[in-house]
Amino acid sequence: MRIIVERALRQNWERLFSYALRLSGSRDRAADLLQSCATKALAAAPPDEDERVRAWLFAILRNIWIDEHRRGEVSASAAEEALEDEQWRHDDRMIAVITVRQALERLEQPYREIVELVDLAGFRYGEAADILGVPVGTVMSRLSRARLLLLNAIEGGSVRPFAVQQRKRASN
Amino acid sequence: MTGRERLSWTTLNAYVDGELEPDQAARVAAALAHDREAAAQVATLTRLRATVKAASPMLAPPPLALPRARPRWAPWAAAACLALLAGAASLGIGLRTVNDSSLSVAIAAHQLWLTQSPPGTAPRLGVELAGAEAGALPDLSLAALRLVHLSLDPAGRRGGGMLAGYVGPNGCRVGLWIAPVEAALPPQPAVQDRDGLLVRAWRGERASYALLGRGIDPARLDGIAALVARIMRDEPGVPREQVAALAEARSVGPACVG
Repeated sequence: MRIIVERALRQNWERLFSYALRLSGSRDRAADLLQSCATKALAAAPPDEDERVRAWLFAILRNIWIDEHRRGEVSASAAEEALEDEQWRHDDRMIAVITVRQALERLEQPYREIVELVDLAGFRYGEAADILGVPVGTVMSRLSRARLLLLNAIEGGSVRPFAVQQRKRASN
Repeated sequence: MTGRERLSWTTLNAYVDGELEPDQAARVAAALAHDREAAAQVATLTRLRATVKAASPMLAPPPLALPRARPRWAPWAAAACLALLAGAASLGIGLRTVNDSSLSVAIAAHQLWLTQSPPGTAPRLGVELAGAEAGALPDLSLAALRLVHLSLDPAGRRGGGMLAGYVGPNGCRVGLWIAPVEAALPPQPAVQDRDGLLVRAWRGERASYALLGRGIDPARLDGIAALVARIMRDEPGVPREQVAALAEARSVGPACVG
């Protein structure tokens, strides 16, 4: 059992740290979370199915974070508001690593978290639902809203890709 | 698929993520050929998804340091420990008796261990301090120490307690004395050096502790004592700074000669 968990920890160490960083917003707290996660996982029995061990590790890390840092705030999940049927007006040229990185930091934690799990950690919707303890439908709506908010944040951000700045200056 | 409702933003997200059933994905793909706005949204989503992957945090994770397995009870060790406890009881050694000689007993126990066979020749033990209800002995692998020795009040005096002997990679011996709670001790590890030994002693909720070493760097002993205190308080995880301090004390401080 320990060998299975150790292997999963080694394989997902960076990804778990990234998730911890996204949850806590602090490198030190993320490192503590990671260590606590490893300790707890190694002392517990992993799922029987190997393919579920990875999601199990992420769920452990998330639960520790909730226990230690967000006690009393657990219910503060993302408001699953209906998406506005607004006219499509996003400029793909604004989507660059620097603008996305800044926009991600501006997202509320539940939206950052779902983007981290699906887009960065590569979890399927069903796995993300297990980790978060919500229905798959909630994952779908939260993720699609997170991406819309991300696009809005990119549009409204102060940092723009250099090429876009040049084009905007030329048009003024 | 001609209904605008079927090409909702949520559906398009699931399409880009490959989460739709094959027949549903095929219908979306067919609809995209006639819906320019939806096609633009899919293009945006695809680009956003790829860019998010590239925008992963740049901070490097801490080094992979997996905690070692906590020593488990071996049947023979359990029996030996129980026999020791029973023997001690028959000799009138009260585990609940606390007096000022507690540290003296700890020092005697450690000095007796130092006179015994060099570290490494004794079998590794897996024990638990059932008598003092202090839970499992701490795993000190983070301080590069492994458990090799156990003795129960070998000096045969009053005070009652147990010495767990740990050894470092170069043979450095560190003793952890665990005894009933002694109110006179401070709640945090404090310097109590005596009789040529460096000693850090403190009291916890369920037991008192003394960490003993000879010729060990005081900073390293402080670090180990802080680690033991943290483990015994059942605090989850070990802060990165504490792990780094332990490693630094090991590599920078003078070699332990105990």
